[in-house]
Amino acid sequence: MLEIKNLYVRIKDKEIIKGVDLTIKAGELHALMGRNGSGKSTLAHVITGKDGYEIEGDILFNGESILDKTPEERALDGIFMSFQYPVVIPGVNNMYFLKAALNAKLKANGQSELDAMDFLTLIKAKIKQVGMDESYLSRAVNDGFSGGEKKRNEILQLLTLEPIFAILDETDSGLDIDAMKVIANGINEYRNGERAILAITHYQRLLDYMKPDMVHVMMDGQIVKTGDIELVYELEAKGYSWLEN
Amino acid sequence: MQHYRSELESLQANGSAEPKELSVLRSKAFSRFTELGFPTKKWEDWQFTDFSPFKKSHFRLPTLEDLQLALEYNILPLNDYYSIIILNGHFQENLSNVPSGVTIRTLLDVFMDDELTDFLNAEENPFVALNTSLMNSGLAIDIADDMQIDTPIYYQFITSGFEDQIMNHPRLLIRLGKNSSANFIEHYHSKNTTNYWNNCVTISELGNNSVFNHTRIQEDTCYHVSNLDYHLHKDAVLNSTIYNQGAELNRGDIRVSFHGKNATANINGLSLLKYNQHMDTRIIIDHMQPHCNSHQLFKYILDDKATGVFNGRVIVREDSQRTNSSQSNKNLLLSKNARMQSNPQLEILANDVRCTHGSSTGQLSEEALYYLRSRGIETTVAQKLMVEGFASEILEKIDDDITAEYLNNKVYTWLGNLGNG
Repeated sequence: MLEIKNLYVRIKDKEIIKGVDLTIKAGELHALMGRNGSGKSTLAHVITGKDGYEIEGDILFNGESILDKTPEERALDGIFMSFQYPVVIPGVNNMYFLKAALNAKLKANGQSELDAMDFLTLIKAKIKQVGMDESYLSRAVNDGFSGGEKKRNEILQLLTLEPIFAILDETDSGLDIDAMKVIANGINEYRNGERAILAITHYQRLLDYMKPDMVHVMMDGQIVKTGDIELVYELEAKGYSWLEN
Repeated sequence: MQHYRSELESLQANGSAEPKELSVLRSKAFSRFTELGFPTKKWEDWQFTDFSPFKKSHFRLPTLEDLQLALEYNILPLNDYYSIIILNGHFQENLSNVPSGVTIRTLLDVFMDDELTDFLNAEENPFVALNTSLMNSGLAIDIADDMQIDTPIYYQFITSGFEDQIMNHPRLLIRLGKNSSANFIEHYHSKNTTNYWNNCVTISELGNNSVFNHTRIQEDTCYHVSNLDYHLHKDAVLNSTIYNQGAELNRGDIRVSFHGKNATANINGLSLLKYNQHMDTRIIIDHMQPHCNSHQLFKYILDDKATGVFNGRVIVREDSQRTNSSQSNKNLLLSKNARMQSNPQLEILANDVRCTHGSSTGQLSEEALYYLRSRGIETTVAQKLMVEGFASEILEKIDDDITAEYLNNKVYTWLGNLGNG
């Protein structure tokens, strides 16, 4: 589904990603771990199409290069990211935003758009799955939301938009144990054989719930180690330093 | 100046129906106007606006014959609100209806009420002086004591059908009796007229314990000058929303004076500017009494080469303890060529007060734009969503849903070609 080929990324002459190759197939969940500043979030943003990067190499999505595509084109292709720091958008109603996003997808797929009533029925079912109060629908996007509510709102978007590839950028950070369970359940609900996930995380706990197929460790812009869930336990016990050259 | 004088002279000559005292007042105000002249770059509170079009143009006052020009105008009623209509400078009594307890009087009657048109030689705003000397289409609206008028009163000032240069000097006096409440929508709009100027003075007096919800909608397309004067007495509450869109040149002066304790003024403004449009707001909040509250939030959205000025001053006088005041000016630039000049000021002479003020001018957040786009929303739609969101903070303060919806649609339409530039 996703193929990253010999990827190098620079921001203003600073090299952040220094030769990454990564292939994720449909149905798989890959975990990406590593210290802060190792390039994980940059990799995520490069996949979703954020501006401001100098890129070499290629990223293929379902066999097609996406590097020349805008963020919205990539989203409509089925790429989604749960943001590490969801953005506050003052004055833009959360439900209106979710509806605009879903209708953009439906329109791109040649399906008919949902009217306000149908959307309300749909979103009310989805919001229960992430354990959010309905009052969050009538507020501005992420405005005044707690850290946990922002993360739930990201998963609500994941469940509503049903992308085929999802990047979860530290979706588990700052969550209490109960919230983490709700989020993990939401993610497991989303998973199926046709969808894939790249989960960036620092913690074992979320991965215990989600059972990754592969675990990668990133250091200084490179993937230095790949393994299975056992690697997570090893990192938990030993930290990252043993992987340094 | 000379042609304004000849307009005054023909007004005085034709107005045989006008009492002699009115003619004297007009002359007195005109001589103050000529003393002052139109503002120049050297005038501190006026320096960012070019007033030369008023010097160069030869505007004339509309006559009774001009009423015919507006007959084709389709006057849209806003819901089933009470209505007051002024068409090409002429009050249309047959098209107007107000509830009992509300009295409308025209300029001639108003003049007899000396306190209203008492013109001070100390007047420093030349546009107010000119309005007093040339005022046409004046109305006084009196709301009796203890009246609760929930249905809004919808005042429309319509300019239509002119091919030459036209000017109006509307004078509106609204007096709200004690313990009364009213919603008043004051709306200026036009059709098929390109070169005109409305120079408005609206004076509102809020009696003890009254509540006045005032929405002023400015959609004139050419030149618009306004002077809004609010006088608040004890325990009065003012909720004012001032919406501006479309004028090439727009100068708005707002003044709030507290004449009694424990009164509250909430004043919010939204101005939408594009092309070469220019809007200059000056607001003075005068806390002359203790225990009063004033809260201002003014927002500008500027596109293309539009320019905006916000000049706000809150004065807290020496004995005005326990004043609570906030002033905020937030501006959104949608183009690299748009400019905004913002200058919020505080002048505090009392010591036990809570006052805040601030100003910010910026572009749409790139982070927020990226976030929306990463959800599949195309750039122009995302930009529109964000601009509408920026505007909504003002529009959601309007109590009347139909008026708010009307303005929401205005913003949406205005944004129509966003992203092309």
